[in-house]
Amino acid sequence: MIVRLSRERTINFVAKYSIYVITLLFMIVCAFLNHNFLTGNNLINILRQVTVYAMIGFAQSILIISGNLDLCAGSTCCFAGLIGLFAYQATGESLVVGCLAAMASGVVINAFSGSVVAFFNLPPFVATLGMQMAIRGLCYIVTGGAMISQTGENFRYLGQGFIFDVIPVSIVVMLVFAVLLWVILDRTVLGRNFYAVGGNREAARACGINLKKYTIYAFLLSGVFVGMSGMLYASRVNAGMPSGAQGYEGQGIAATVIGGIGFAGGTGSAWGAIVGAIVLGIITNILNLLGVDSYVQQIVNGLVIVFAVGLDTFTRGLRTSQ
Amino acid sequence: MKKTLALILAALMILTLFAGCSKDEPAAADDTSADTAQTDTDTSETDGDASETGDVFKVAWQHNWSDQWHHQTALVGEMRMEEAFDNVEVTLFDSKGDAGNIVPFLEQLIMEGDWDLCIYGTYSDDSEYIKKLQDTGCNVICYAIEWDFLKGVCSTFVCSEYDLGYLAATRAAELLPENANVVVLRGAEGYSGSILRGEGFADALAERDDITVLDEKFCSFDKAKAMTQMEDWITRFGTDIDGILSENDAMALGAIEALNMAGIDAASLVITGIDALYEGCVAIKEGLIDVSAYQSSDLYAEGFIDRIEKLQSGEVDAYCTDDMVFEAQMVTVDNVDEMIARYEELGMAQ
Repeated sequence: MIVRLSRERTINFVAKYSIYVITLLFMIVCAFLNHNFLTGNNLINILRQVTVYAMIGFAQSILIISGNLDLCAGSTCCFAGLIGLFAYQATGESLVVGCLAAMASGVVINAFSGSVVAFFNLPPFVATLGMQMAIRGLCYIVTGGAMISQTGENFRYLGQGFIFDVIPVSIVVMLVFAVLLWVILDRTVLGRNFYAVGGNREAARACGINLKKYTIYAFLLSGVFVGMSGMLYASRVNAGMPSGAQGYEGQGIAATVIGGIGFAGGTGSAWGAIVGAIVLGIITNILNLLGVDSYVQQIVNGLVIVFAVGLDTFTRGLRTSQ
Repeated sequence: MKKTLALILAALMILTLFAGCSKDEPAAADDTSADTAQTDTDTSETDGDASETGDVFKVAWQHNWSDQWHHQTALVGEMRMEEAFDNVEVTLFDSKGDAGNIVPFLEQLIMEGDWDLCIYGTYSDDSEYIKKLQDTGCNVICYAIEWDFLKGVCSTFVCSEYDLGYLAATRAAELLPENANVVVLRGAEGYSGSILRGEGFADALAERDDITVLDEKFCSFDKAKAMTQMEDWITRFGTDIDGILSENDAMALGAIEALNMAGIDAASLVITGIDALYEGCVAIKEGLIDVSAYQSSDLYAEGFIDRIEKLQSGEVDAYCTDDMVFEAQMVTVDNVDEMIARYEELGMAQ
């Protein structure tokens, strides 16, 4: 009995904390591989580089936990950044209005996707894939296909600026949204219902949870995060790029899965996405520091994602067999 | 809800049916969109009744909207043709940068059979399709890319990608200090333009044996990826970097953002780009980019206009395979004002 309990605890511990332990071990290995890796500047560098991926990861976390998916996130991120930039310019360079406009555009796009999924029972994969193309087309239309490089005096502050000349603003924004996500997922009924809907839809329905309502809520909330990621993206590159953020939904999903959020829904934590994004950032960073060829980098990134999903499936299988 | 939607859709279908039946004029060019190609039609007839007289000269142009230079060239070309002819109708098809959209585009033109000129770029041997297209009376120009297998099959209008790289890197080699270290931002893996530009860089830099290429990475012509790459290079090489060679302006601008964030004065480095798009020219004007090599969208437009004139006058026919080669040009602080003025004239300045 004691042995069985101990085994269960071990499995649960591995499932819950393995990504943190692996990340830590990974960082130690990287520190030995390159002396620049563990410097303060480089660590801040990595965090700054992963802010957009992490924000999209947060958005995907909400959806994946509730049993959905958003393949439109890259296009939405790009469009939201453009809308944020337009709003910033139109309101005499107000970053606050820019951020609100970006988040609002994310919410509107996701409201549409969510409604299609909830009311017409379209698989999220199909609905958001269609939206991905439509929103990318919108990006080209609103910019006329050209990059907007004349952004304004302070537009880059959010993505490139520092608080007290030390703390990057983008990292603070990412952490604030991480806390917000944690509160929603771990401390509210809304969050618990997301887990319930994603974990077992029939059981959730039997408990009186309105599946359609929570599907739409998940998409709406996810829109806030992905909209803000767009503003961070545009501000970081200090431009409005209609072809920007292509494939970022894949990075967001990868960050989420690497961070231990089960692809089948109903499991994972808010902090998983941020750790997953950091792992992705570390991989790119260390490979760049080591001067590894671009082609090899793609192979390594792909293998890491396969490994992460494999680990998730393996631990899930172990828990199921208990 | 589903019933309501079904009713709305049915009503829309009926309305569309009536609208279609009541239309007397010939189908507009933008009604011809293929499943795989998005069209953006702009009719350039200025007399308003050209289509009714049956003299419309139809140009199908497959470009890539997601590539700034290609999109700009298509817009400039379309604009210039509008100015030059009363009866030319240009339809832009978006390839979305996907080679898989090229053959369906050609098949569509062959099926419709009423096109006069096809302008497109390709990655595969489309000889069979081109011959069929020519048989329908449509002349074909492959632009901005050169293939041996299309020699004598269709016209090729091109500016050497190799020359673009070589020109930019030659200028960089002139400006770089002794024993300089450079990093190279490459475009896209496997893309012929990138391969040739890279070869141009390598050959030009090889003429100075004291220059060291610290590293080169592919960043998909993307500003954000180039920025991230440059941040990592700054961590790795510190202030040892004397120059940045980039296969387009957008990546050079991404590298400049990274330098700014690291507190390094971008003007103190030699930075080169390719394309000389508006934002690149502004950076040259500000002293951030030293040089950008470019293939002129105007020269391409003039080449297309020349071909249309010859086709309309009967000087050449649909089977014409005459090529045009445009010289790579260089934009520096000395001539950047002319470029910016041209962008303002075209309405492409911000």
